[in-house]
Amino acid sequence: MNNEEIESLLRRARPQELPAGLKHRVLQAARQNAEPIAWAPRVTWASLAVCWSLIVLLRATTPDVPSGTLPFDREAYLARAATLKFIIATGQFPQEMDDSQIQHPLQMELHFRLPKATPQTSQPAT
Amino acid sequence: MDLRELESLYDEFAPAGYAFALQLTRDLDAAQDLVQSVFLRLARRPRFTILNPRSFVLRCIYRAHVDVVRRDATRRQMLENFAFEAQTGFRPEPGEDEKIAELLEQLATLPEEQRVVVHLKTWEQRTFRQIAGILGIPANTAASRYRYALDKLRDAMRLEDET
Repeated sequence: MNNEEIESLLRRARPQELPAGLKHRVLQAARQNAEPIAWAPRVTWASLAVCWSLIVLLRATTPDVPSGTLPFDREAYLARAATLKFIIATGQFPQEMDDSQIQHPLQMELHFRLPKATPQTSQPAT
Repeated sequence: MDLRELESLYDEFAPAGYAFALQLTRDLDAAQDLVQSVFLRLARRPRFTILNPRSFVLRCIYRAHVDVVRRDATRRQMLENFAFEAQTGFRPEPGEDEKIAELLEQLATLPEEQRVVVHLKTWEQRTFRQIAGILGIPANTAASRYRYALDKLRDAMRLEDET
């Protein structure tokens, strides 16, 4: 028996028949998949409502700040700047500062660059 | 894809897909599951145009089978163990040459990669280039697998004739 005979014998075989219930099973499953899930819209509306309430709550509890400005104490900022300038110029801390007010120059420079929102209690240099 | 489209796609291509799935899995239940999963996946897709839908369905079935086998190593072992009581995608007509039944039995014992190529070449009348596209292998590999499979079948039939 050669390869051609084998091929021709194989071609004479018939395909197995499809099981009768398979089509029904496939269509049934497809129909179930196609139907929208009943609780999905409720979940969507509920999450929207929760998001909206959070936004309203946040807006109500956030203090009004004019847009484009930073909430910081301008006087304290200028005072720190002046102190830093004094230290750089003289290499000494101002006489008026007590020990608790003395900060490392680098620390002061950081304050200078990133002013805090809360008012500072340090006294300006004279 | 709506249900009517799915139904017509099923009527046209499910028989070929089922025979191919049976050739891959050699198990009736596994083949049905494979066909169902592929047609469900097609149903979820939006309307689309396929140049060669028959090859497309066969490719989907092959990939789904590869996915299942990769996920589940024990399933692969189970399918391999079915080799001697395996179902094939094809059967002899009643009253046909007994050699056809013997050939189909021998075919079921071949490795999957060779069985699949024989199936696509013999019953689906695909070219080696098309088989390569369906299985994701080079066309030369498909051709050599087909040749090895026929050689094995020929040797097996020769042994049958001698005994």
